[in-house]
Amino acid sequence: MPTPFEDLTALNRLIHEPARLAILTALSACDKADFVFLLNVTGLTKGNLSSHLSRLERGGLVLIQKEFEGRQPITYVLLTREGREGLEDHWTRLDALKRATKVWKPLRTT
Amino acid sequence: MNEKQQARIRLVTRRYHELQGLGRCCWGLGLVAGSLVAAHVLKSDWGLLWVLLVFAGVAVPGTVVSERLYKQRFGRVAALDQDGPRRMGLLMGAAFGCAFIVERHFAGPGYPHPFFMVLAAISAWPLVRDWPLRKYLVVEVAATVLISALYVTVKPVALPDNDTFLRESFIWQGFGLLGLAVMVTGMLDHRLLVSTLPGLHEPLGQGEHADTL
Repeated sequence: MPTPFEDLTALNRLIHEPARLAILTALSACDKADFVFLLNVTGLTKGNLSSHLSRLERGGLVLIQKEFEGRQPITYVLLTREGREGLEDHWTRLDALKRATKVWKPLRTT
Repeated sequence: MNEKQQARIRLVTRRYHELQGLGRCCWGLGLVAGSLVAAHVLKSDWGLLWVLLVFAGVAVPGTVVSERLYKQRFGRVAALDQDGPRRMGLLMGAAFGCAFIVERHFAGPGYPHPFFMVLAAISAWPLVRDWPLRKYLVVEVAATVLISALYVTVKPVALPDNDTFLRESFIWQGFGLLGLAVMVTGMLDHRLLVSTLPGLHEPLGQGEHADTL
C-alpha cells in the first residue's frame, strides 16, 4: 500500500517553490498585477523576482505584458489558463496529502 | 506558505483597491469636517452647499493623493471583476434613492432613519464577505446601527418649531460619528494591506520597475 508521502513526488516543482506559489496565488485573485505589486507580495529582490517570473513564463504558467501609462512603462503579469488550472490542481493535491497524512499509520515491521 | 498566508494574499490582491485605507480615512475626515460645519451653517442660506463643499474639499484631494501613493509604493492590480464597482454603485444609488423616498413620505417619528439603515446594510456586506480577516469592519456597522437606533429616541416634543432642526442636526452629528468609524476602519484596512505586503528590498527609482524584466 503506497504511503501518502509518495504523492509528494508528484507535486509540480515549478509551482511548489514558496516564492512562485506566492506569485501564482496572488495572480489567481486578480486579472493582472504589476511587477511592483509582486515585489511587495513576495518580498523578493528585483533580480530574484525576474528570475522566478521568467521560469513561470517559460513553463507557460504566466504571461508578461509591457504597457504604457502615459510615458511610464509598466510590466504586468497575468496567469494563463494552464497556470490557473495548475495552481488549482496543486492546492487540491496538497489538501488531499494533508488529509491522507492525518489518517496514515506507519506499518510496524518488527 | 500556510493556508492563513494564502488566504491573506488572496484577500489583499482581490480587495486591493478597497483596502487602500488612507483614501477611506480622507472620506471619514470629510464626513467629520462636514458635520462640524453643518452645526454652524445649516440654518443659513446655502448651508447644505457649504457642507458639501467642505466634505468634497477634504475627501476628493485626499483620495486622489492616496491613490497615487498606493500605486507608487505597492503597485497596480487589475481586479478580476472589473464591472463590480459599477454594479455596486448602481445598487447603492438605487438603495439610497429608496431610502430618500421612504424618509420623505413614509418614515415618521419613532422609526429608525432609513438612510442609516441602508448604510448599515451596505457596510455589513464586506464584513460578512471577508470574515474573519476584516472583522474590524464591525465598527462601521455598529456606528450606523447605533445612529439609526438613537434617531428613534429623538422625539418631536417641547419645541415643535425647532423639531426639524433638532432632527437634522442629529443626523449631521450622526455623519460625524460615522466619519470617525470610517477613519478607524480605513486605518485598519491600511494596516492589513501593509502587514500582508512585506515590502521592497531595494527602493525603486523613477519608472525603474518597468524595465526590470
